[in-house]
Amino acid sequence: MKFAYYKAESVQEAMAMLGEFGDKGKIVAGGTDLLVGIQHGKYAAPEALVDISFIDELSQLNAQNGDGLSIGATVTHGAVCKAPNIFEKFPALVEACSQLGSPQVRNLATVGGNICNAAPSAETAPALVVLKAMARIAGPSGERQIELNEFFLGPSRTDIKQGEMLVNLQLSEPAQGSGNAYFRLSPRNALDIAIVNVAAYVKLNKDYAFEDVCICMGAVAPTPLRASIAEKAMFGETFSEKLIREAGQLAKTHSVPITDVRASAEYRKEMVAVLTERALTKAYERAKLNM
Amino acid sequence: MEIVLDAVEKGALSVVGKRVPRVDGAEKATGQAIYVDDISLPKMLYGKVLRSPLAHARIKNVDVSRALCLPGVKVAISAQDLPDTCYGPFIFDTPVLARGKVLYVGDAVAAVAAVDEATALEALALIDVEYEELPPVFDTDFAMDPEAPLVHENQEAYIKTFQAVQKGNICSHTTFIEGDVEAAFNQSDYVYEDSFTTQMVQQTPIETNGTVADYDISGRLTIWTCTQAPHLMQIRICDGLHIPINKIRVVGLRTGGGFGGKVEPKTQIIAAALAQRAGKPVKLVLTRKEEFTVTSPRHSSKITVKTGVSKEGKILARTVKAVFDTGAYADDGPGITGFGGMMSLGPYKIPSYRIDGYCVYTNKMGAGAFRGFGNPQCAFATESHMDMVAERIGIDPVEFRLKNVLQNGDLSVGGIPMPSVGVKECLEKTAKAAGWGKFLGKNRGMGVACLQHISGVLSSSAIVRIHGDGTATVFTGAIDIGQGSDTTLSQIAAEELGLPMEAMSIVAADTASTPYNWAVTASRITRTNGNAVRLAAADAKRQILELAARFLEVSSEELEIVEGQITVKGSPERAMKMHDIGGISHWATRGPIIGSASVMVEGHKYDPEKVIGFPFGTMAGFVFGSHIVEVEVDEATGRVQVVNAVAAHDVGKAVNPTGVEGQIQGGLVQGLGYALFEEIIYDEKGKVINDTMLDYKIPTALDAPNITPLIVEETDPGGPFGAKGVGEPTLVGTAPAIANAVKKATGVRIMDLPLNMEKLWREMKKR
Amino acid sequence: MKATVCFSLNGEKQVVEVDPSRTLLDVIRTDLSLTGTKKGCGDGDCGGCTVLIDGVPYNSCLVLIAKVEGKEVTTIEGLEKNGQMHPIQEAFVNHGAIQCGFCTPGMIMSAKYILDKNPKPTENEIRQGISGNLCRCTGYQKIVEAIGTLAGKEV
Ligand SMILES: Cc1cc2nc3c(=O)[nH]c(=O)nc-3n(C[C@H](O)[C@H](O)[C@H](O)COP(=O)(O)OP(=O)(O)OC[C@H]3O[C@@H](n4cnc5c(N)ncnc54)[C@H](O)[C@@H]3O)c2cc1C
Ligand code: FES
Ligand code: FES
Repeated sequence: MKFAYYKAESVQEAMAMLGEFGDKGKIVAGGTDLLVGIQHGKYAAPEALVDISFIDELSQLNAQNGDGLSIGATVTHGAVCKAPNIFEKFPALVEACSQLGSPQVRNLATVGGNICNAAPSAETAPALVVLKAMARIAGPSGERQIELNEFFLGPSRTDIKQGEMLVNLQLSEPAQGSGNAYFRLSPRNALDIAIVNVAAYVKLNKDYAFEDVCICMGAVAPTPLRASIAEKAMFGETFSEKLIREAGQLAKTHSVPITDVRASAEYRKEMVAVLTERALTKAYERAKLNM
Repeated sequence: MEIVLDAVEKGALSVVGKRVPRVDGAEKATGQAIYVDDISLPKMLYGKVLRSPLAHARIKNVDVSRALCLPGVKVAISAQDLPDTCYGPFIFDTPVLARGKVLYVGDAVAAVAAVDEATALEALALIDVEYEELPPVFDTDFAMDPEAPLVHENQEAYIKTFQAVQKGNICSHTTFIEGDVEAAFNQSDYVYEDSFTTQMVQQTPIETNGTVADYDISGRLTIWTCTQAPHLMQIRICDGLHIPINKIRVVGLRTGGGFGGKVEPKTQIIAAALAQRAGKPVKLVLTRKEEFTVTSPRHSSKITVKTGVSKEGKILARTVKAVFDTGAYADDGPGITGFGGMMSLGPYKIPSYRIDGYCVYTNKMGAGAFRGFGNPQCAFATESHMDMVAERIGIDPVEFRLKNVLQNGDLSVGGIPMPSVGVKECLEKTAKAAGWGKFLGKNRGMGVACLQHISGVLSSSAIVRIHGDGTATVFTGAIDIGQGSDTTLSQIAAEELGLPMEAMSIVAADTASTPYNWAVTASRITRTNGNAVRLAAADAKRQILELAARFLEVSSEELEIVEGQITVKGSPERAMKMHDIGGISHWATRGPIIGSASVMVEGHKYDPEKVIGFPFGTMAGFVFGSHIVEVEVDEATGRVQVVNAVAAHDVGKAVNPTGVEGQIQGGLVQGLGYALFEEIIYDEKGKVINDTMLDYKIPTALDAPNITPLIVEETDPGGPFGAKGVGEPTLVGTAPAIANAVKKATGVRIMDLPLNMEKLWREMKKR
Repeated sequence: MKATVCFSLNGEKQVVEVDPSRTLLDVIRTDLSLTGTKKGCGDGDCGGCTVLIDGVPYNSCLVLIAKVEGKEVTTIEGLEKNGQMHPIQEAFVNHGAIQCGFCTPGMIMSAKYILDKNPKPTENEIRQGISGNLCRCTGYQKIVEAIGTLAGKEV
């Protein structure tokens, strides 16, 4: 493992460095994916690393009153777990961040890195998708925004082009009457990668009917996948066990998992149904408390 | 014969039986303890090993010349550079570097030493190897087929330490026979047969294997290494490189976990061969990936158990057929297969039996000793089977076991008398503590398993030296790999000498200064080595008293040592300080006091008609235990959480109860990993695909339950102060107890380990 | 390429000139000879290499050395004061929390953070706090108990 290393002090400087190194350069945030990946030959070793973790602006985590949540690209999972007031509105996110890896890994690993690494099982992706995160991306010719839902293109592939970087994830304030939740399944209770993970967001109208439903499934497709058929089926309906079970079944049919060393495709499909039910039920319970 | 000292009856013990903090605690808590990777010597080189990418292939040519041209590379070797010889514990089938053929993905083909690791790695890429691929054998069923390709083509020619029964890919077939089994089955009211499989699991010590080797101008080789067996290592190096034992010094360092995987050589001989040629020290430390893919895992197995019982629930007969996959090299496989078979009756009295164990070569990494030595596999099968039989005949599993447990004086498989058998008490204690039979609620279940093991085998020796100030040092070849032997052996010596712990020190496991001990294996150190230490201390004590008798003008029989004072029994005012005896012996008369002792577990002879192809001599120190676990099963996912565990172990006299509890808890959690999620997975080419600690899952603190350890002290007249052992058996009962609990919780019987969530979910779906 | 990195190590200022592709673990063990911090995997999985950076636990095998510029790093060697073990170290010794000892330095650093953050942790909080430190020997229970004995005490 040998590469040159540059510390960017600002987004601008990072942009300049990335411009200079072209395809030989690579961003490092926490490095928990990158270093392990290089070590095991999953990635070709880059010639130069641009460390963005010293850029102040990127490490800001702001939960302004009533103004949603702004997550700088290098905010760590640990920081999300420790920050006060986030769980109350964005429990799905905290549930995801707090289950990633281990305490030590969470202190180093960033939410931005998790998203940009774009593993199909990425812990925070389903939660951020259902919370309708907007990704702000800086590039040589300025900034652009993209819905996180559109961001993932395949395993390890995202909408970020060479020379660009993620600077921020913006979540809007969850609506009144809404709730969200995240579930994952893995053999161990810590230090494990999800076999399947699911986040759900629901919003109820005053008659307790589902007015907005968003379900996102991880590790059952090349990218985090919206269970859009299940979402549609729930629209306008009120909570019942039957409805939730149907939604789980629709999520299952929608999923396209593979078999690998962690689980078979068949098991993943069944489990996505189970976790979808659990996430929806939990999100619904939370929504009721938030009417 | 074993020498037996007056055991526990001699009154209150002052050091043995106490919760003495471990003597190596402070150095480990502060980071001062030195492990092999902490060593750095002047001009030290770094070694790396080139490993086979193929599971089975003929080596047509190995050329290291390009590697040698790389600047910074000092040595590059292949089998051509080494003596044409093999080594091994039972069957000499293992070359230092592959010779003629590679037998698994990861087999060592060549090795280099260079100025740094990066250069050594670069050099590996420059070694040219020409292979001719051969058809591999991955499965024991196929391997036992007469048509199967042979992993070892000429196994008859190998040196063997026992009369091995071999055929094709079977490198050892052990049989135990007692009584007329067929007649006993005919007399039985019920006969049941069940088949089980267990998976390959890896040792996964947190410290990977490693060695620093140095070879000097006079031909003396020094090996600093993490090991369970410095003296055994000397022998293997001698066999592998033809260096005489007197020229080999093995220094056992602090060892970061050894559960069997640090007994046989992993890095030592290759590092030695590199150092021999380099004329400089060479460090060779395995990466975690190598630790997963080339060190000796637990054998996978296929086991069929058949049991005949009477209406009353008495077991009348049993047959066991156990096939162990030993991979590319036999390693300890013949011993493991035989011993696993020996344990496969469980701690029950079964009058008629026939046990067949087959140890089979395949093209996977060589499996070896791993906590339990064949017993965990057989116990999973037989203790699961016990519950299945109990259920079929409608008896409670605890009651069924109680009806059949062994008692003091019963004979082991092979006919060895067992003087102290604490299984009944273990079972009763665990059942009581766990609340056996209480209502648990939905998706919860409680499961039980009992077990037996041994703690006495082969030889050991010890030296106790009394210093000029009256303090003492124990010299032992038994290394403390974490199990706490430095502390317990010091306790045993202190007790025998009548000295406080503060007056003791211990030098463990440097072949240049400590006497022979076979190995830290087989749960044997407290009992077997403890006997040597106690006898050596008694020898020193005799000398102390004889010397003191001259000054106190009494006979030595009238003297005793109490808290460091030598006093005349009954008149404590007539006393001498140990300090004075130390001083006198060094400076005035007699000369320094050194006590020494050698022991061998021997005596019983197996009947050659009843014990066939078994590679061990007699055994002793039979230990027993019982595990009860409570599980909660997530019905929808098949995920099992062990929520509570109680484990009782009959360890004889518990020399250090804290240490015993630590062994129980640690073994149980290893057993939990074995039961639920540990498994080495191979792809169809024979390559391990889960070679990281993220993909190979040992339990974390959040997966381990609260464990209540219970100590049962059925003292052994042949053990020091009545002590037996505890290291391995603590893992043996866990997996079957969990499987039995899961059955209770779900109605589903899993007969193939691991009991992972997908497997359980699949079986639950079929209900 | 060489980089100059300036940081505090166990209270002492360190200036190292090193290849920045190296990790903190490698530098403290090799260049600074502090071998108490252990490498069990190099992948962030075992926690053997845990150190505190500005009081928070990290796997030093995943921390590029340049990242500690200006930071305060504490290793296991930094806990004892004047030849006296830290109370956590004493508790580990006295409660049988140590077997082979290879996980111990990392485990103790995690324990330090648990107790610094929360002087009265529950059993579950302790288990959570050491869930990134694998131990193959102890089954964790005596470690949890050792840390538990310090709950509510000055450490
Ligand atoms: C022991 C261990 C356990 C783990 N457990 C989990 C788990 O349970 N769940 C899980 O999802 N992951 C897990 N991971 C993976 C990893 O920790 C996470 O994905 C983490 O969030 C990555 O963040 P990072 O800052 O370390 O990323 P880095 O490694 O620094 O970067 C990852 C990738 O993203 C790119 N990148 C980073 N930031 C940006 C940016 N701002 N703009 C553009 N590109 C960028 C990098 O170039 C690189 O390709 C684990 C890793 C380890 C070592
Ligand atoms: S060595 Fe760093 S986590 Fe294992
Ligand atoms: S004490 Fe050995 S790994 Fe923890």
